[in-house]
Amino acid sequence: MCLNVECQPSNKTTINYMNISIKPFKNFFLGCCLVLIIVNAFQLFQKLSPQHPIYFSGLKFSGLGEILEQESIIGYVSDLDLKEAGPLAEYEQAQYMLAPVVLDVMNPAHKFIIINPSNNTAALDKLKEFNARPLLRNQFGVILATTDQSFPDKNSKAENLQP
Amino acid sequence: MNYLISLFISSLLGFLGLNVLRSQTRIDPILHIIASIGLGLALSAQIIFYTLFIVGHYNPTALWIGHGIVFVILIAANFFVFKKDHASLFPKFPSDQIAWIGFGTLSLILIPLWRETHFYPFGGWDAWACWNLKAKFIFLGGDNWKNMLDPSMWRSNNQYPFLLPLMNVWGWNFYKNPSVTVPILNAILFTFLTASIMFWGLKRSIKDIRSIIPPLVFFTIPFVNTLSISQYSDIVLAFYLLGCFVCLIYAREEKSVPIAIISGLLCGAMSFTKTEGTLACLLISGLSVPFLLKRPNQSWPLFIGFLTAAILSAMPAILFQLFWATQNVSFTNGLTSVDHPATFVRLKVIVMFLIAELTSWKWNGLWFLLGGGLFLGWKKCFKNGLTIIPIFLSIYVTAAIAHYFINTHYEIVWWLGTTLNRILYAILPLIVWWVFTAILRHPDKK
Repeated sequence: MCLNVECQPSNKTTINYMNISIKPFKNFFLGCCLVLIIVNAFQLFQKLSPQHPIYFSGLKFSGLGEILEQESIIGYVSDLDLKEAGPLAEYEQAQYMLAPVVLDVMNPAHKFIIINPSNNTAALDKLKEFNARPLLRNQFGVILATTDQSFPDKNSKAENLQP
Repeated sequence: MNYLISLFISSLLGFLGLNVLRSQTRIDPILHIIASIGLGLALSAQIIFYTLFIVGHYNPTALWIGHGIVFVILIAANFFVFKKDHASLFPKFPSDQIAWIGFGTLSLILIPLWRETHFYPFGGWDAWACWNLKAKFIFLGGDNWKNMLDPSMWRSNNQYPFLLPLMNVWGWNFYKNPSVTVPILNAILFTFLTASIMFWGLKRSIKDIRSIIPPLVFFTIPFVNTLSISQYSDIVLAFYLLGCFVCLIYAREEKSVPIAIISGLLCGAMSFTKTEGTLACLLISGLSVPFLLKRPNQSWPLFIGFLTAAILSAMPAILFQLFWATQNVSFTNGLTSVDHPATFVRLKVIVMFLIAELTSWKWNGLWFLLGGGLFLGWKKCFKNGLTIIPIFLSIYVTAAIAHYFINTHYEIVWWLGTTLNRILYAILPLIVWWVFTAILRHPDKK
């Protein structure tokens, strides 16, 4: 009874394993591989066929970075629960979009604060709570506010904020 | 085009570096090219690391000076070595039909990768929350780039090394802005390099076209396709890990010091990819002692070549750990913690989750196929130099499970669900190559 692959001295790949030639099994294995490649390719083709929309929450925070060029750390607050995947992803993507500025999450004790509210009422509540003044509000409702009352606001674009 | 220029410069440095080794012994031209690209990019990234270390911030001028110095040194080394040895300065590319057909077929995997990236330009979660974020801090942050290591940035895994971000910064250097193109192309490039080294590593042993099967089996899986274009560091780790083992086994078989040096360079570069890469580098370095020094194959020159190259290449990882690595605030020792103890239930969940992951159909039955292959080539998987792979995998996976068990900072099901598949993805190319090599190579092959 041969259990060792070296039992066959010939150059052929026929291998005895308990007196059973393993070559058919090896061919079966390679056949399975080819089937898997075909199945994979078919699935891949199916997956690629539809035109997926590109969705990236980080785009929600575009247009807020200009004022922050000199800043290294600002606050990020939201009335959304950051323990949930969606709001957490928004925070992480905001961090990516505004890097190299560090977003200090849920800490309003900074000169500038990004407020990512669920609605206008929540935004106004946050501004009141932190005694902050909106400087800029982009088309997605994200607000850049300042707690520095002396900071000039002649370029403020946040006048349309209504509850 | 800008990306191609950055790639060409890095590859040229890699090529010249390996060419110096080629003067001593023949290096397969295909390995020469694959390793030139992989190590060249690592070298460019490491030059950026050293400029950060010396200058204190990303500085394009310092970067060019660094590349210029390395280029001059390598040209001088090539001139000196080849003048002495009278060998051909450029490697000869033999007419190899299997290689042409193989790489022609492999290039087909670029089509789905390229197409899918158009719908996934920012990559997966960790791409923008970790890797590309770090690259942006380095590229745009000036002296404040170290803010990425601030404890408040713990969500971005600030304790991780950052080879891939530095590679992205090297590409951005040619765009003058943090373009999404560079991380996308780096992800595609490393996927193709991993497939190439898998193909070449097997072709070297069996010398027939069946070597094309393993990379096709692996990289055509839709889930693998998605992970490959996610712009994660896992594919970079996968490439260096596989390349390191392929070259280490090759070096031992051929008793080739230059190949052992290439293996060491790949091993060292791997240490700066991720924490898992650092662990893998340490494990391989430890396993290389019996692997290269055990009689009757005992070879001190191989071991010294491997280890010296590995240490040299791992210098950024060593310096990072010594000077910049922050405390991992997302670590709670479950063995000592009263609030979050590591319980038997946690261990059971880990094992059950691992089994569920291995049997999940998102892998399209790959693990079953590999299990069948392992059964078929059981004895051959553990002999003729391949033994080092299962030993490494056993220790590596045990360490990963131990980490999941001991670190109770995260809720275990969520943590396993978000990270386990990527840990497996990074080691899968090595497992696939190992099983196929054991099955397909000639029984008498030493």
